[in-house]
Amino acid sequence: MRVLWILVLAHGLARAAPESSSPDVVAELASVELEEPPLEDPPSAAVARARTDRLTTALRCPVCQGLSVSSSPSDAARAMAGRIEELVEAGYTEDQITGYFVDRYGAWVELEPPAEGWNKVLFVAPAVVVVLGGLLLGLRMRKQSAPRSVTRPQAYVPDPALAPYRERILAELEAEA
Amino acid sequence: MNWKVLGGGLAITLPLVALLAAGFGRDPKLRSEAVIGKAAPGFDLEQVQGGQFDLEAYRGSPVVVNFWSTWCQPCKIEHPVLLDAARTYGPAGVRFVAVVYQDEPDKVRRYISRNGSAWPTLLDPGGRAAIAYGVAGVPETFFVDRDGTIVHKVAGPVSREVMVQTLESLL
Amino acid sequence: MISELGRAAVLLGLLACSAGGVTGMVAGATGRASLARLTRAMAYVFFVATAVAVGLMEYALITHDFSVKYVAEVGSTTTPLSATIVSLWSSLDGSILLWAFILATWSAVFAWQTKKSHPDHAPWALGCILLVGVFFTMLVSSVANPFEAVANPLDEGPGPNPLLQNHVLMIIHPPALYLGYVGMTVPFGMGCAALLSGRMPTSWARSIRRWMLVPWGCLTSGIILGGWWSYEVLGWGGYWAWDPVENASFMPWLTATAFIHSSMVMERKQHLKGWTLTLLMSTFLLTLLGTFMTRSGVFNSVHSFTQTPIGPVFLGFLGFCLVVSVVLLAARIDRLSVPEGSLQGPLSREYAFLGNNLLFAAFTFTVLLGTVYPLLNEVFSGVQISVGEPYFNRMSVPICFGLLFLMGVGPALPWGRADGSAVLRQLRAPAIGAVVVLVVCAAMGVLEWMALTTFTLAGFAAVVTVREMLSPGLERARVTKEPLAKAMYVALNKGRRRFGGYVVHFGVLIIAVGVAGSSVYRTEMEMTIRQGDTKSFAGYEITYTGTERLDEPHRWSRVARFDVVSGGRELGSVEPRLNHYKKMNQAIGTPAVLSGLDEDLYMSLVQVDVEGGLASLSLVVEPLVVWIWIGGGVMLLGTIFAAWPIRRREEQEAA
Repeated sequence: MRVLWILVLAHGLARAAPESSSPDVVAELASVELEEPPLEDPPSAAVARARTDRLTTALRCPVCQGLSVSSSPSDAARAMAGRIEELVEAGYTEDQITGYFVDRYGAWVELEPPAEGWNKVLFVAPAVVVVLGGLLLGLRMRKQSAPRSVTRPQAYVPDPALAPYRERILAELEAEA
Repeated sequence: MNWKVLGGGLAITLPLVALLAAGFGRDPKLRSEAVIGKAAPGFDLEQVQGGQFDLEAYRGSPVVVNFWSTWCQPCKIEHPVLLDAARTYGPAGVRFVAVVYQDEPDKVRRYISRNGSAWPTLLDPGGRAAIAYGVAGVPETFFVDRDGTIVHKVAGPVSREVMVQTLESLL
Repeated sequence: MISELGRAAVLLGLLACSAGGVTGMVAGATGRASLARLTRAMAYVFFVATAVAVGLMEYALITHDFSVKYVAEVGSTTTPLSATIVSLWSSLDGSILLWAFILATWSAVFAWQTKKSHPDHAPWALGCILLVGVFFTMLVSSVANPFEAVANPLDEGPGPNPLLQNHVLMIIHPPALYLGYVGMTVPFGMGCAALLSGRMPTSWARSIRRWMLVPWGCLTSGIILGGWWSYEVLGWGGYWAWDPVENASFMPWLTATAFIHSSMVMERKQHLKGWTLTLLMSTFLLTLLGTFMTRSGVFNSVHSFTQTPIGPVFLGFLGFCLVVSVVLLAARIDRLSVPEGSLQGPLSREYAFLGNNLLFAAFTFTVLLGTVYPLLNEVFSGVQISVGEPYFNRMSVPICFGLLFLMGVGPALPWGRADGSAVLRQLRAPAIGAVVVLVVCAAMGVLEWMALTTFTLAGFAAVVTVREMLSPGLERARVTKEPLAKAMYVALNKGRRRFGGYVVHFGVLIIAVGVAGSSVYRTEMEMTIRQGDTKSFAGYEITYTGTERLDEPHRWSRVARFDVVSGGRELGSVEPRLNHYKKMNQAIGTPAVLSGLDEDLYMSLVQVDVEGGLASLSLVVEPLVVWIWIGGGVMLLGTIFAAWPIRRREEQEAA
């Protein structure tokens, strides 16, 4: 709704403005901007380039099968890349631009879901698997290296019933020596 | 029989199969319905027949915004449906406007001269309007009520029944 | 005519599989040699039947017999011959016929190779393989019947998917992938044999490992060829997009690789039998899952065949196999397991293998989770979300670093409990290697942390790997005083599996370096050049020399010619093109790639304005990307070396 009013105002301003500001420029600006104004000033070329690259790899081409905007050669993706570039150059932040596309297309336009709510599972579960597995291995290691209770050999206690035989053997041995 | 392995194995595999089964009967294609219920984005674009057109001009009336192109077969199928609707519901106040998606102006002019059109056909260089409406393919048709809110969207060719039903509800 | 003959051939195959499946089970249970022989005969009949069916289908395709349903779907008189032959696997029904044929080939080879060995296990295994064959032949003869007769055949057909006609790699990639994918059925059958018989002797374990190596090699090649094909054809210079179907081929590869490693522990230490068998069964089950994902229409993918009624049937079979596998494992795992106490750690090779398995298992879990999560989310909340490249890249980087680290440390550890100081001594040379790599990289300005870490870890592992490759030969030369070359030759020959394994490791390191270089240091730019003008990018000077239109029966192409000069040297003329097929509204580009050992210059034609004399291109420079394909070749060579059958005499010597 507000967009329509902004357009009306823009047109009104364009007509009321002096000769030097051409209506084309105003119309152009009006069609670049979103409902809300950009949060930042237009960035330098290097920053703009980096932001555009990040956004085009993070957003999904709507007509392709799972490709990012940067990976897709289709016309629709190029149009979207161009739009992203425009918005970045106007000073919109990455959050604003991402929010705009999500607003228009739905959550799936982000190639990596934001880590909110249940989506946290996506990021946490693999780490949990590694940790649990590691713990299992660690427990296994502990079980094996823990010293088992060793039965100590008892000191030899001669059986009294065998005493006479021992005496005879000892006597015979001494006789041989 | 090792019950732990049996239990654990089934606990992992059966839910997976159930999940995959739940996937049947739903279209894996992505739906972009995010704009439904929101204000219809305005646009001020050049007409293929010449001149400018601002959606603002249709404020207060129900509007049908149709995105199409000459290379899209289903668009050609729905064209007669749109023409009929414009003829029938135009007098009742329903406004129609078409936006061209990823196409060449010459081809569009040729198509219109051959097949006719009863509404402004707009060129959308850079695809800004298409993006603003969340268009992910053609044809896509948006139904906007008098307050400027998008109340319905059809991805794919609009059938006569859906067209009539929706327009009746808008009036 | 062909319709009836083809279907008859498939039905014969179905009959053979059913009979063979039953006799195989009975032969395994009773030990009757006559039944085992009958089972083998059924495998041969299966092979002949499917070979005939495939032959008939190719004949129908080449002669453009549009009365056969599959030909009516993908055939066209304007398609060139090579694309027509290849179209056997371009669409759903044909690809399942191919699956059945490859399964039949594997089963026949298995029957032939085991006719005199493993009489107590082989019949069980062959029976299981043929039972799987029952499913596929039943599918081809009923729900997905490519031979169905068309009521009113037309004179012309739509032709195969244009994307599949663009490149020669399309001829090799699917067969290689299928050989690997389908080949996993054999070790699966062998695993079932162990479970059904309740015994897993070392000889059988060794045999399973050998029968796993060949499909694993094919799968590895198939995956890398797929990446190469994507790179050469798709126009964005990428080779892996974590598409659901790509993930479907990757998951069984991960579990199969984990299996190959843990089976080494199983062989040496008689340990981990249950876990190793679980990995084995999972590999096959994941191939079924993968095939389901490609064909069911449940997942949105570049590779997806269109939706068909085949989905629920596949899911039913997958569910059945899952339950049977779990029950078998649960029933036998205790009987096969050895009592606790023989794995020593933590500084031991066994524990390095366990770490390797943990990482591979986690990787498989992560890929599976990411692939099914959107479905899960949608079923429960109705909201569609995407889990794509950024997620998978983020999750796989730490796991891959862990694997690279283990590739370096693992081989340096001995079997059994190790002496800490001895291990440190072993690691000294690799550590020096790593530091050297680090310093060289830093000196060359390679400072990005992901690339630097990869190169350093790879350097570390490379030193260990090369040392392990050469040490048996060097040791032998020292002891026997033989000339070095002879000692090397003999040592390598005796330790083929070991040497081959290290060659494969080396290939992996090369791939890691290629992936790191091409993804981290990739630069791209779009430019529009006027005819006759030159523009420069990343040290290349590109001159647009002209354009022409090429007309072929099945398409017309807009070709643009560019001369490329780099550092004064002329690199020649390239011709990226835009192909317009009758079926598609969007042109499909054929990019031009100038490959070098240091980097590739990748050019995609975006648009040509013929009257205005302008051409728009997208250019990408990808450093080191060619090493990915080279590394894949090295892996294949290593696998061949490791799997090459050794003569019986040598086997006895080594035993």
